[in-house]
Amino acid sequence: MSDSAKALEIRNLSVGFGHTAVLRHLDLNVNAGESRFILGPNGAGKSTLFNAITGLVKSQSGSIKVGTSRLDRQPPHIRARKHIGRSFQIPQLSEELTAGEHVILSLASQAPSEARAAGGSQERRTKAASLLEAFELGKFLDLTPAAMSHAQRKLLEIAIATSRRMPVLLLDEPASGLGADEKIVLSKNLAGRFGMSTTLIIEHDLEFIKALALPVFFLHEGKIQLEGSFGDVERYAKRVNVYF
Amino acid sequence: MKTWPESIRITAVVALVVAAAAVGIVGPDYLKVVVVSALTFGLFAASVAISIDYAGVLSLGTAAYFAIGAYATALAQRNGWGYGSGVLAGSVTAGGLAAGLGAAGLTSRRTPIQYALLTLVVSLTLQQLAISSYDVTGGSNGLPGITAPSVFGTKLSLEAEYFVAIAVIFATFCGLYALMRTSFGKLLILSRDVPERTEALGHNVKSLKIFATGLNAIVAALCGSIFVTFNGIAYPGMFAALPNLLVIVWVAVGSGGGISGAFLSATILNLIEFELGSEYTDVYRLFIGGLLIYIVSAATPRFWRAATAKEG
Amino acid sequence: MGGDLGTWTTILLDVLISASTVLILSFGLFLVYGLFRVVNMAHGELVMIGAYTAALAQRAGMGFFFCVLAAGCVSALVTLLMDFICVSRLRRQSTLFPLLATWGFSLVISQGVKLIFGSGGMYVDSPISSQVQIMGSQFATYQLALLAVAIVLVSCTWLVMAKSRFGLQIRATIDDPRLAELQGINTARLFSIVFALGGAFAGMSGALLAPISAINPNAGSDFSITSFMVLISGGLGHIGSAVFGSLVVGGLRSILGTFGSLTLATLGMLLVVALILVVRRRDEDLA
Repeated sequence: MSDSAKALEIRNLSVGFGHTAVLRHLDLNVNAGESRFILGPNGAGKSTLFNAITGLVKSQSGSIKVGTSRLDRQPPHIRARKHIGRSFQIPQLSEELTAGEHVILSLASQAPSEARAAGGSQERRTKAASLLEAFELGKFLDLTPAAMSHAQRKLLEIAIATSRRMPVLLLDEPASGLGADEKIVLSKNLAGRFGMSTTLIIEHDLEFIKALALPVFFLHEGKIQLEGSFGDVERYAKRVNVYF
Repeated sequence: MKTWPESIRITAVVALVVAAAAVGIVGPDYLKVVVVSALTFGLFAASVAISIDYAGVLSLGTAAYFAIGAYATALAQRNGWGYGSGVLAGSVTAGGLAAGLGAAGLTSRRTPIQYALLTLVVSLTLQQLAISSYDVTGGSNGLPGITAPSVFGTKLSLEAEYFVAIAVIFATFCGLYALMRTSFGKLLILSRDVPERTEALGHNVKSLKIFATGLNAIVAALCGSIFVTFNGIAYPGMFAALPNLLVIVWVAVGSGGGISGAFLSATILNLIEFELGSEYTDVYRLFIGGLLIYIVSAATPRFWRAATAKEG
Repeated sequence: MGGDLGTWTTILLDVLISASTVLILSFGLFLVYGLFRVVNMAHGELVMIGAYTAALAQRAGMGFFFCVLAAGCVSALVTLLMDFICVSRLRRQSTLFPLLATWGFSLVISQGVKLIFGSGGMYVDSPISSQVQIMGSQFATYQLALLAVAIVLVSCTWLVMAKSRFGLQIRATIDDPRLAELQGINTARLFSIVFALGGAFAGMSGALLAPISAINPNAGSDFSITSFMVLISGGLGHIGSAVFGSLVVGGLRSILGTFGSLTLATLGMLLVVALILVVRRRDEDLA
């Protein structure tokens, strides 16, 4: 299977609500297959950035490109079908479907070529089972979220999001709500998948950020102020007296 | 409340098939009409459950689809256009109406209550249309004299017609049941509970919901066609507020039981109503009204919550 | 036709009379929906009960004025019963459940009346049976009286809402229910009062319209349909929209009724209203 990851290129992106500008002429580039953290103080616009990329929020100016495709005119579900996978900060799960069914639906929702590669229903079930196993959720294959703890539901959310091989993957605070053990499971899984998608991760958990040791974008006052290592960002933040 | 396990519901449906067959062989003619009518309501409710329970779209005007099927079939027969084309026209019209209502009312700009009111208003509008277009629809008198069509020039016996109808009803039921068990059914459930996640997987939630209401409409129209074939008359009251209310109650009683729950609850409630006879119709309807109050205030089907959440 | 002043006056008066009838009919529904966004599907049945009460009261020898009062009281009581049983609680949970619950009540009420009184019709004699000639056309004095009633109703409502403390409380509650609670306004009780008032108005309108309407257990649905059309045409909650909606519905009814059949007029109104519902923008209208 060829590499599905594509470069993410954002130019001059401005997003505002009413008179408040949240993102101001923001530029951001990630090469295909690379992964970055996005850090920044609360309210800096990280979620807004994700929402602008996925199309939930309208941008006033600028362009968003995945590979050679411009996303701007596309409605949210088209962007999600072709270009973007995402996980939600608060798990979005149906209480009536089992963990396995969630993952299978996700597998079935890929681009046709990938979906065909995922195989028929029996193969999908096997694949879902092994995906859940990787997140140590194997026993919930035929159980609904009611049987799961808060942390496990979060892991399921990530499992669903990462089950599709998408060019770009957005993870919104994946470590929040997880205990130490679950964070290890998460790190293992993400590390194994990083090459497959161009990944952006919003995160606040310092331990987790240091553990994964990825390059970082620092979002503040509507722009990417800095791109570098976590150490660089720490020093910068101290200098400008900003907490994140 | 249909909190029975799935296996019991399936057994009940099978028992219903057997009982229906028995009536067809040894039952008196009037009972055949009663059973077929009750089963058409059962299938009607099952189709509405797709919209309300699976897709989370609460429509208050689904009786209009049923009535459109009835009227289209009646008109086709009375005007000599062919029974089959009437049934087909009814389904297509109903499906088109559902799609139109969905396009207009299921956008993010509209609230569920606006959609619900719109569907009810449309049903009542069609009732007025049926009443006032005397030349075409027979006005308040409706279109009487509808019978089953001849097959290859031969008029079938009531028994034969009965078995064909039963077969069509149960076959359609099986089709809906199977469909809802596929990943399409699960996708509807996902879009009902977590629409943002569903969109994030690349699906157009609005299209999914419109499709569900369209499926509801087409099957409902088919039920209307079968109903009018055995009951002989299409009349404006089929569009009225009362039948809309009734189907909501049937589906609510069976809610949680999926397709089979709605099918069973509607069929059984209607068999009870028919058996009580016309002297008890008013009491029965009073009971249904009370049942709706009870359901809404004390035993709300949980799928209604998605469709009726308070905004803001 | 042409520019004859008499003809135009007749048409205008016809429209105003029709609009005032419709305004009186729908007022109770409008009150509750406009202020609290609760759709009372039993509104038509409450009107019908008012008509029945008036008929019975008249048979018992009461004067027309007291018949109207009695009708208001009975319908208000029934409304309070609905409120107590579930509507009050449901209103807090959802915008749609009160609609469904009152729909259930509408069936219970209409069937109840049918079982108690039978399917036959009732009659209420008009307190004023004379006619008046204006600009060459005959008008029933009673209908002109209804026009006056409607004008008074609109004026008083506007006065109460704009100038009284009660009106202030209501407006505060609509604007920001949480803030209103913090300021000591008991929104739950306010709702019950307004809900009951809506019922009272429904009952009184039933009595007032009884001399010119058909009264039977099924009359509720016609009353409801007309009231809904006013609600939908008029839109959001202030008295001005009630007037506007009544003019639209009453006007269409009067004009189409003159040139076509009454059922065609009803059909026309319903189509216009469905259109309005669809075309209405993204607002809070009917939210």
